[in-house]
Amino acid sequence: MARYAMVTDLTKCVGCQACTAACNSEWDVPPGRTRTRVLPTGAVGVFPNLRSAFYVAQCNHCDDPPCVAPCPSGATFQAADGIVKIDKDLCIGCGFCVTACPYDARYLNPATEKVDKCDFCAGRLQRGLQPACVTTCTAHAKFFGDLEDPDSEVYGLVYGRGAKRIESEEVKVGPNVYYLGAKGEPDLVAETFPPRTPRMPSAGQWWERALKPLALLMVGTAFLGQAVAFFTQLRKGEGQFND
Amino acid sequence: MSSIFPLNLSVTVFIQVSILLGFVFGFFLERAGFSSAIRLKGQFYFRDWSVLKVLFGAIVVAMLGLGWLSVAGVLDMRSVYIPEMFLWPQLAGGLLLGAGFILGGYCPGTSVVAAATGKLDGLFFLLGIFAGIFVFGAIEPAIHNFNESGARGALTLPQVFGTTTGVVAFAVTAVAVGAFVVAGRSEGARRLFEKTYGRTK
Amino acid sequence: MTNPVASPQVSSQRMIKKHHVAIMLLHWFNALVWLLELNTGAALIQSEHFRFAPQWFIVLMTGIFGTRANLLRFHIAVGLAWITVFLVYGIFGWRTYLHQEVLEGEVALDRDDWNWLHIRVLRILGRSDEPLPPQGIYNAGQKLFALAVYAMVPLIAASGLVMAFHWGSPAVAGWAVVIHFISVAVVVSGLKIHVYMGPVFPEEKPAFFSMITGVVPEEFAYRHHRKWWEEVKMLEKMHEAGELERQEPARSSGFVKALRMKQYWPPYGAALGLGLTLLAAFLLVGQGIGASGGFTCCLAFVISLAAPDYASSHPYRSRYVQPDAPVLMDLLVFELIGVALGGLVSGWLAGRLRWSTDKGPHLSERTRWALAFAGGALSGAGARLARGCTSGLALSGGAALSAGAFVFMLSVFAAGFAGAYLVRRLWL
Repeated sequence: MARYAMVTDLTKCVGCQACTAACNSEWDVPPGRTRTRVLPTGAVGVFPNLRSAFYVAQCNHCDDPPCVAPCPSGATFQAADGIVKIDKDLCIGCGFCVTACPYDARYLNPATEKVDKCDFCAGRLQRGLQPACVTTCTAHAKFFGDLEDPDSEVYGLVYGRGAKRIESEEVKVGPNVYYLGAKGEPDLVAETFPPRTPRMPSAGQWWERALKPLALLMVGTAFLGQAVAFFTQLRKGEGQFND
Repeated sequence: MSSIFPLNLSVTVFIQVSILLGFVFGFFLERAGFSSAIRLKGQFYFRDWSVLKVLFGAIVVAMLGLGWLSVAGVLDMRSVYIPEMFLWPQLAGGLLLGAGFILGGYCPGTSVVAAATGKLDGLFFLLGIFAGIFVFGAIEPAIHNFNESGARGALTLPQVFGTTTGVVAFAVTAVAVGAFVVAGRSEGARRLFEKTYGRTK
Repeated sequence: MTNPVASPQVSSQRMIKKHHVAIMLLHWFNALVWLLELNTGAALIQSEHFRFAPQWFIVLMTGIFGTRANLLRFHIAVGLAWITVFLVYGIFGWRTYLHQEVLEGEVALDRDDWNWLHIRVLRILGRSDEPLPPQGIYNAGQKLFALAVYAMVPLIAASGLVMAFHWGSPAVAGWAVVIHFISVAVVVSGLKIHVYMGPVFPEEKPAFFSMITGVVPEEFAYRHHRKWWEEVKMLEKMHEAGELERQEPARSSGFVKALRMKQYWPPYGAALGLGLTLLAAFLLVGQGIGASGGFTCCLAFVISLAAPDYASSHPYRSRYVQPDAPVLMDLLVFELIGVALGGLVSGWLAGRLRWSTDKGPHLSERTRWALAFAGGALSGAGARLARGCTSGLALSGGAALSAGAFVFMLSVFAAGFAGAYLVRRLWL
């Protein structure tokens, strides 16, 4: 099976947002929301040692995606090729996965009332095409391919030229979008836009801390009571009524 | 101008609508007394004409409704499903179903309503339907050629008679009204007979 | 120990009526819904934070329905049917089943009930031989379960609707998930006891059978539901003494009268109703209403599960058996469910619900059942051959002026009238 990855060469990116526009039109993204977007870090440092970079943000299709477990209906899942997908038929729009994503890659589509995000253009991949943002990138800064294929472009960029993941000390979930830079651009991006700790909305926290134990306790007690009654019945033989 | 109907429904709504339609359909079937084999079989002994009245009455109401709505441009008749014609299998199937009707007292739809109101014979009829379908599936390969014979596609009466829908609809309505008159007379005569000579079994 | 000597006027043979047929049907409908919903629901909850069903179960259920999306659709559809039925029950049964006296007498717990619960538990644990305090028509355990169910069912229904139709903000949907799960957990913990007490626990077996037959032996009522037994006895005495007057039926509107009418509707009224329903079907879903197709789908579903090789061994049989399109997800199947529910509700409102057999005067019930089965088999095969039955082909096709429908109608009536003469001994 494949393990898909994206590499963005930050030395080439000019921040033109062509990828954002291509993605929005490819996937009917509503105004004000994005599946991928370009964020400038701005000038960092003291003149004349200024540095800057563009952060091309999108879903990282993490090895260990924190958004999958909180999804109550199982709509969010990781496919065998590593792509984290959303089964729109199952999504109930609770938004648990939105707060869980350390990269804020997910949004609730107000039109469909379901969650949406980058899926590496899975529909295009099936037709043998590259993701829309890759084909449209004006600077040819984006590369897409299979990390399990040693002959692929991305394999060379990640294992040969050392493209980096955007991670922090606290959050290491194995993102599969890599960034390449000549003068420490990936580190600058990681400092400016560090992944945040996954959060659970209060309803989910209540379930996790109080209600789930309570539910298990109730059902367990009932089961126990029933078992005791059954064994008493076995011991005492058939009932007092029918004798 | 494109027509509004039939609606293009999402799957979930489609399911709800079909349950609701079935519900109302079953409700009216039960109200008409079609949950009783005694009442249904009365038709074939000329004692109770409600099968004919209800069947043709409903056909006429729905047919005229369809006709007017499509003339008004609200309904697109091209997207309404019209059952395909297979002349010989439909003749034979009708004979089988008619025989099953008089032997078992129900047809598939009415047996469901009968079983739902606690009629045990309806329940057995219902089980019989499953058996019949299963057996038919098993022997279909042997009679496959017959089962596909006389195929005419989605043929309609106006096409058969080479005339307009309006004329056929008028004719069907006229025949139905004629049948209602006959039914009324027959029931009237029967009441008179019973009044004079006492109730027959 | 309960007193082994029954009091003189208590018979173990005589039966007392406990449940109305409508309540029994509702009970088993409810049981079926819970069976389906718990199983599909458990299989739907897949993620680590929420899941409790084992992986093999989830795989099995998903396999039966083809895809998880279908599983969810089925779960929602059954849930909606359940909500509809209970709304109808709530609206029409309000006066009979849900007014204050009934709730106080049959659901609220009094001091005896609390004592009963205490002693019942001790007795099951083998720690007490104290006699149980007298109980009303439902014992304290049943009442407690009823209270839990009454409280939880609206929560389950409302949270389910929120999730299915995306009502409210994401926060609302998130809470709906949690509320749905916890309220189901409350019912399930009671349900386990309920299911155990019914068919398994020896002392309550008559109560279980009363949900099938509607009656309990008088002795059982005397020993287990003494207060109710006393009420029944008192009513019987008053009845014998002529003290009970027949209650005047409440005045009601023409619409309610038509719904509650005891006689069958005049044929033309029913025809108008059916015709308009048919028209609505054409408008909403683009086709009429059928019955026999639904049977085929159900049967094909069972065969495709039980004997997939047989189902795919011939093109005719495999038509309904495609791996990606589970056959139960068909319009016709849902219509069939609707038809049954509609018949049930109509019969209930008109007071026509009872176990009975329609037959000619010279026929035994068993013969009648065998003939009904044979007739059903003939119609089943006939409907397959004709591609529809009286509803799907004659009625729906007839309204669309299908030529095949009229051919079919002619031959049904021909066979019916000819056959009627041949089998007149069965009916007259």
